[in-house]
Amino acid sequence: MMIGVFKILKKSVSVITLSSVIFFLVITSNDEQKAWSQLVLDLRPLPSSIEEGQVLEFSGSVTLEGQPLSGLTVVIKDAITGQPIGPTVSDSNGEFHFNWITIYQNEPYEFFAELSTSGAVPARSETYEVTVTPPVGEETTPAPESRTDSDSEVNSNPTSEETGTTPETSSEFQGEANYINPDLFLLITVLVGAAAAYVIYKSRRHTARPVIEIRGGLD
Amino acid sequence: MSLDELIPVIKKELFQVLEQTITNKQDVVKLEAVSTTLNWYKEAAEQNMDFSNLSNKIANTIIDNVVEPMVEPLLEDIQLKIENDRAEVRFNTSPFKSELRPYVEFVKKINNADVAKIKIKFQINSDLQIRDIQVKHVEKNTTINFGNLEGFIGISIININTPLADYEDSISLGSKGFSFPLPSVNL
Repeated sequence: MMIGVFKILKKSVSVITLSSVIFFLVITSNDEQKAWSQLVLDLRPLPSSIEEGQVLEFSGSVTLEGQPLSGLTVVIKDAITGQPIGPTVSDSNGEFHFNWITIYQNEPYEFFAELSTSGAVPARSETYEVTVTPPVGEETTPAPESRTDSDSEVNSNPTSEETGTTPETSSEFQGEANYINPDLFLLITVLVGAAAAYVIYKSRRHTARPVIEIRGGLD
Repeated sequence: MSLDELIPVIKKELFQVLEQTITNKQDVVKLEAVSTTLNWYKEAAEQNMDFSNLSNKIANTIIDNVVEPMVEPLLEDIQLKIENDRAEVRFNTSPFKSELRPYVEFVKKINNADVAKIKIKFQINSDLQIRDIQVKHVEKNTTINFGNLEGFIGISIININTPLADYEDSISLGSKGFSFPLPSVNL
């Protein structure tokens, strides 16, 4: 009986230590990334095709934790050449607008919006493919292989189909579960729950809001 | 108390002169740079930031940068006269005119990175004089009654730089004459 209690205590101490290390790593490592991950630069979908000489309207919004951010310079770029098409600035609602008169080229364009700042702000919108067609009546140079579903191709995020456990691992886990003392299992559950609650609390407390700094000097 | 310790007293008085001048000019609140800055503070969850708080911050920042170059020549003048006159003496400093161009920059930072800036450049014209300074040397003790700091300060905006544009228009915020007493000290 005493040995059993000692084993449980020993395991509990290990679990608490491990949990503490995990808390620390989770909480301290990604504070900055958390802030950036909440900065959203949204470029509204563009038409997949437009005639040369027509106005292509770019619009979207910049938000941080769902709140609009004003006065940020947004640059529209062509992903293929890396060249900026034009800058614009987000208004008091965090909205930005930019009009561009289209120019025909053989290849489709791939447009995205990016924040232009002095700091390293990794904010970039989704990319949209736009084919600029020559004006009606003009001869067209056949465009090489057109990409049909622009969004799905350009924004192809590899999706993992690897799921959960195999029958083998399940049976192994079953065996392990039988071995663990129910009290210890409860303790682990409580600790994991507490860890999750603390992480949620910290992430809510962590403010990614902008800070306004005032500087002065003489010219 | 040394002469340098007069500077905080002068800063406090001139701050009020400057803040009143800025706050009384209601056209300033209509400036796009000011409304954008107020909007930034709102985004930063500083809900209590209004135009009067903002002009307070602007005046503070300007004062921190202009008072020393504005009054140091006056204090040097006093120092010189005290050292040269070893008896009881009463004098004024020479008037000192200055034209300084302080700027105030509001920087929006996200995660310690500057993401946007608004820079307002001012011109401060001043003509200052410390009048009626009385110095008494009694044995090894020197008592100075600094009299009054008198003069005027004129302030105008000469340039505004926002993320969208650069405005070069000069906007006069006004000028204000003043006179306030300075403390007596034993050196």
